[in-house]
Order: sequence, then structure tokens, then C-alpha cells
Amino acid sequence: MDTSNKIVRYGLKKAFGFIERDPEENLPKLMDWVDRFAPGGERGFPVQRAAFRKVIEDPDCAMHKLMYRVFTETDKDVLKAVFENFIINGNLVGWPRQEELREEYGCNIPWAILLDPTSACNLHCTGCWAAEYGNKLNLSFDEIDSIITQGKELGVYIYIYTGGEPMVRKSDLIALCRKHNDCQFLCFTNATLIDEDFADEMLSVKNFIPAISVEGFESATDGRRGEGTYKKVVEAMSLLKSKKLPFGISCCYTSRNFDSISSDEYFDQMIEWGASFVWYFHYMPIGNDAAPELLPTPEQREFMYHKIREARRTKPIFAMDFQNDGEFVGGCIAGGRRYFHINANGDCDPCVFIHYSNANIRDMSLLDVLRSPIFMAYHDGQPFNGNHLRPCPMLENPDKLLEMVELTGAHSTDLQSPESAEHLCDKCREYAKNWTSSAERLWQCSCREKEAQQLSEAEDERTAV
Amino acid sequence: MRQTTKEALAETLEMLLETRNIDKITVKDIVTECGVNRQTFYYHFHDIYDLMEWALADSIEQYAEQSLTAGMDWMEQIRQLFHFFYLHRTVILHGYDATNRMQYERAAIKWVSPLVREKMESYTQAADVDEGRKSFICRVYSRTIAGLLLEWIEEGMPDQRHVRLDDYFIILDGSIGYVLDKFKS
Repeated sequence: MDTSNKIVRYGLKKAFGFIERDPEENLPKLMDWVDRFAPGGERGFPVQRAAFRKVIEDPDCAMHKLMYRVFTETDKDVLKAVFENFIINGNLVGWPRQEELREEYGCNIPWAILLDPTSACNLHCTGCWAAEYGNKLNLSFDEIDSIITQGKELGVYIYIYTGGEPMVRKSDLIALCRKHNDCQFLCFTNATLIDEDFADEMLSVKNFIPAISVEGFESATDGRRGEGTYKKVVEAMSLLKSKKLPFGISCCYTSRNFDSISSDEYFDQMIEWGASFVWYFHYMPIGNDAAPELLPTPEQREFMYHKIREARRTKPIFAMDFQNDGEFVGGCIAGGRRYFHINANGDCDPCVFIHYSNANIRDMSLLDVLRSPIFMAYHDGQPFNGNHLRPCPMLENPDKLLEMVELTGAHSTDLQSPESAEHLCDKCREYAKNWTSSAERLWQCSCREKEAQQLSEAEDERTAV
Repeated sequence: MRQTTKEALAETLEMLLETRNIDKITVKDIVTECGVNRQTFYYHFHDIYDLMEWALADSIEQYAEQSLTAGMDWMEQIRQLFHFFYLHRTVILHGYDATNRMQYERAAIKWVSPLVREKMESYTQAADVDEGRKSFICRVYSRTIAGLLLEWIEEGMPDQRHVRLDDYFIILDGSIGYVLDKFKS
């Protein structure tokens, strides 16, 4: 890091300390200061600043409530670590480095890496794609350590564990958090292995945030995950809340549960549990045993599109739906563009849902993985569709994935039951066709909305001048 | 006595520091010698300096338990701190670098400031001086000790008598009342 970077970092840390003492009082003051020093024109991020100011100054705004909730309900040291690792390292320090390397190597450089420490799980849920791997595979401590060490060289400071149940390896996860205390770790987990000792370790390392899988209310959760699971998950969340540890929730929506897990009642419940974010995942029909009837219909997906946007305006919890929020990230983020996935066998998949690869981390460096054929095919093909409501090369554009797999000779990394790309893509064709007209209509609406907004903002500016 | 993993790692580090400098010691050396995995090391410590800090604090604490007795003179207690460093001089010298320099400094200040505080509070004038100023006085006198300690370490820790502690005591004892008078609110 050069000197100017160090000064910026120092300034940001100071600013954070200032906010932390009294967020309600000091955030607007800091924002005045930012406005005074921001360069004029586009370079000064005027739109973003205006949006942020609105959040700060409007106590009725949901994001305002969320922000103050996070400030008051999170352990101060943990919040500080998240700020330094996620905001400063993960974005302000990491991003320029990633951009520089994207330019230099002409390949994708990710912002986050997802990895499976193990394929083992303590639960046996119906239809879980992780279960396909069986439960004997592990990335060793040294392998994960090496992935993170190499990742940091590339400017990657955000690591997300998936699996399997990563918490099966909890002592190794804590060791990695402690060793790489400049990184932010997130972890998809069923939460049943979070106990008081582990929560105390989380407080001591400060850089570990769980994203807990919840299927909805008790009967839905226990039905899929086994009797008594719901109770354990709720207990784990209450433990985390009492220790002032931040956490989120992850939900998979299907044709069967989409309305219950997006209901107001459920949002309010998640807020009460103490979650600060919720990630929604569209069901993906992957694997030979997939159940395509669980795919949401176009009407159901459109319902989710509106519902989650509404929740972001009205509920103090940060909700995201990776399938419907492509417009904010320029479409598909996989293939290393913003992230990729390493399974417990070391195979590097372009996406958690796309198990085709030519690269294994045990044979090559992280950089070579990113330059391997299927990753380059992603790099060259992205975005796969100009309509970011149809981002995925599998779900909405199945021919794209088929073509990439054929072109690159990538093989299935599913060790339990390898599935051909034809078989997978065939399951998506009808869905893709049915979704197209809704996607086009929604996309045009959202483009028009944006134009109208820009016009009115330009108008405001003129009046202000 | 049951030994914790942390203590075992600390002892191993101290043992390795008997023979070579800290920049020649790796985590791998420590875990091999100690007979544990690399992940076990990182479960407890962020890096070697984190272990060093813990080991130093732990051994100072044990030393304090053994060597300090109730009613011991404050000057004698400060001499005991120097004696602790003297007893561990090979480890201290082999561990000496920019990072550990700060750790030694912190350890010394932690030891000395309550003593200075107690000494200061024994003056009747102390009641009339505000807290901010009193903690400033404490800081000045403790930092002086830390400075003398570091200077002594940099010189290779010759005989403890080399450090002019008696002269320091004269300065502190003689000036503290004067300073408190001047700072009276």
C-alpha cells in the first residue's frame, strides 16, 4: 500500500471512531464534511452521496433504521473489524488491486471466493445439492490457508464458506480467522453447531459472520431438515443476538415456499431474530436428482422481484435476491468476475451452482484457475444477456452454458453423480422461455423508471442552482 | 500440573529464543518442536508476535505472583521488574525488534503505572488535582521507566546496576509533590 492509501485508511478509521461514539449525532456531521471535500461532477459520486444523505437524515427510512440497529446492536470491536476488513480491505484497498490485475492479466479477478471446507454435514436434508458430494472430502487447513494467502495477493479479502456444513470444521475456521485477521469471513451454515464456546471464539476473532439457512417457519424447516432443527436454529440466533454478534439469513425460494418466506410476517420475524441481512436464492434445478417442479413460475418470480424491492424500502433488514438483482452488479457475477467457488475436492467451479471445470486448486495457482478455459469463457461471455433480469448462462440462457462447456471441455465436478451439461440445460429451457416475456417487460419498466429518476434529479439540480 | 496448549506454545517459543533471534523462528519451527499442528497454533494466536505478547504477559504475571509480597516498597517493586527482564535476558534480546520493542514498553508501563499512581495518591495534595492531570503525571513517570528499560536492552542488558534506578527514585520522589502543588486546581 502506498502512503496516500495509508493516510486514507487512517482517516477512515478515525471517522469510524467518531461515528461509533454517537451515530445519530455524528453521521450527519461527517456527511457534511464529505460533501465539502468531494470533487465536483461525476467524480464526486453525487448520486450516491445524495442517496446516503437521505438514509442518514430520514429517520423513517428502512435503511436508516437498519444502520442504527447495526450500530447499537453489534459488539463495537466486531463492528470495527467488519468496517476495516469488509469496507476498507475488501473494497477500498482490494478493488483497485483487482482492477489493476484485471487489466494486467486480461482475466476475471474476483471480489470474493466461496469455498467448501468439507462436504460433510451433520444434517441430511431432502434435496440438498451439497449432499450430492457425499461426506468424505475436505480442504485441509494448509490448502485453505494457501487459497487465502494467494487471494490476498490478488486483492481478495472476502471469503465465504459453504459446503457441506462448514461448521463441522469449526476449530480450523477459527484458526483461519485468527491467522488472516485482515479478511472478512462469512459462512453459510445450518447453525445447529453454533454453541456458546463458538460464539465466544467469534467474539475473540471478530471477523466471522454466519449466514444461517432458514426455510421459513417451524413446519417447513423441520419438514426438510429434520425434527427439532428449527428450535436449534432459533436458539443459535438468540445466542448470537445476546452476544451482540452480527449474522444474516439465507433462504432458498421455490414454487412451494415463495409466498411464506417473503411474507411481511416472516420479514418481521427475521428482524426480531436479529438478522441484519437476508440473501434469497432462487431454486436451481442442478444435479441428476433435481426437482424441476420446484422452479418458481414467471408469476412467482415476478412476485419475489416486487416483494424484495418493497422490503428494501420498508423493512430494516438488507434483502438481496441474486437472481433478480443483477442490474446492480451488471448481470452474472460468477466465473471469477466477482466470485467463484472451490469445492471440498479442490475443483474450481465458476459458480456455486455450475459444477463444470478444468481447474483444481491442488494442481495450479489461483491466478491460473482464473485463466483456465471455462473461466476465460465466462470472462469473454459476460454479461450473458443485456437484460440483467436474465443474468445466468444456465437458468435463463441455457444454450450459453452448454456452448461454454462444449467449447472448453470442462468436466462435471459433481463426484457423486456427474450430470451432463445437456441434461442440466434441458431442465432450464422451458423455464427460460416462459420467463423471457416477464423479464423483458420488467426490465423496460425499470429502465424507464431510472430515466425518469435521472431527469427529475437533473431538474432538481437546475432548480437548486 | 495440567499445561494448556497456549502455555506449551509459549514455552516452546521461549526455548527457541534461547538459541536464536525472532526473525529466524517460524510458526513451523514452533509447532514442530511443540508437537502440534499449524492450525492449532493459529487457533490460539494470530502470529508469532501475538504469541510473544501472550508469553511475556503470562510470564510476568507468574513472576509477579512469586516475587512480589504484600507491603513491598514501591522502589523494590520497580527493581523487581528490571530483575525479571535480567533473568530472561537471552530471550528478551533475541526477541528484540521493532514490534517487540513496543511490547516491552507496554509491559513496563503496565507494571509501573499503578506503582506511580499509588505513590502519587499518598500525597495529600493529590485530592485537589483533577483526574486528567493525575493520569498525565502517571504517564510521564511510567514512560521514563520504559525508556530507561529500552535503553538498557539496546545496550545489550549489562548488569542491572547499570540502570540508574536510585537516581530515578530521587527525581520521582523529590518532584511529585512539587508537580501536584503546581497542578492544584
